Amino acid sequence: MKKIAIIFDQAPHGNAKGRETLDLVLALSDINQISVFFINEGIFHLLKDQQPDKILMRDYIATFGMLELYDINDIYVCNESLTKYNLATQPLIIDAKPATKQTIASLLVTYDTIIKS
Amino acid sequence: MNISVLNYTIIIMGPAYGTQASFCAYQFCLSLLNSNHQLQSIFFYADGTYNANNFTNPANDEFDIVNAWQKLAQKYQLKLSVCIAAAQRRGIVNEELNHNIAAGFELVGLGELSEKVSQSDRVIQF
Repeated sequence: MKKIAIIFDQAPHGNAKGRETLDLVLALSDINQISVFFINEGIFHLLKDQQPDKILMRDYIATFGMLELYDINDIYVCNESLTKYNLATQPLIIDAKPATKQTIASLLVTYDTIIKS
Repeated sequence: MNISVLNYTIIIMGPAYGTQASFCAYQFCLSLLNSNHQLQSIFFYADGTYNANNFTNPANDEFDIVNAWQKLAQKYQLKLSVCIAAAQRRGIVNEELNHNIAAGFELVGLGELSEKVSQSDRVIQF
C-alpha cells in the first residue's frame, strides 16, 4: 500500500489524458490510498452539464461519480485556478475541497508517489 | 527500508516518436541498471503504449526506441508491461492472425501497475 497523489492538470476532451488518468485513479485505488488533485486547466473536469458526445468524445466525466464508490474522498481543487477561470462560484460535479496552491504544495510532499495526467 | 538499494517502477506515457519522454525513460533505465538500485518494473501507459508497436520504422540514422527496449529487456531479463486497454485503443493488438505488438512486450491490466507501484520505493513517470 502506498499513498499516491494523482493530478489532473489538463482540460478534458481535447486529449485523452484526463480519461486515462481517471482510469489510473480507479485501478490504483485497489491496494493503494489515492488522493486526487485538480489544478490549472484540470479543474474543467469538475464542471457540470458537459456534453462531450456533441464533439464526438466519450463522456468519461460521469465516471468521476465512481470516486465515492471507490472510497476516494481526498479530492482537492486549486483555488487560484478556479478564480483564474472565473469558476469559483460554479457548482462542481463532485465534492472537491478547495485548497490554495500553497496548501496543495505542502500536501504533495506527504505522498509516496505523485502521478500527473 | 534499506536506503542504499531502492526499487524503481518506471511509467512511460510518451510515444515512440514525437516527444523525448520515452527516450529519456530508456536512458534512465540504463543508468539504473548500471547502479546499485533495482529496476522492478517498466510499464507503458497511455501514449507510451506506442512503444510496443512493431510497425514503428524509424530512418536508419535515427534511434530505434522499440528495438532498444526489446534489447534491454532481453539483456537484463526485464518484463515490458503494456496496458492492454490503452494499447487496443491505439491499434496495438495481439490477436492470433493480426498482431503488431513487438516481441518482448506483454499486454497486461492496470492492476499490475497498481501492484508494482505499491511495492516500489520510487516511481518515476516519463
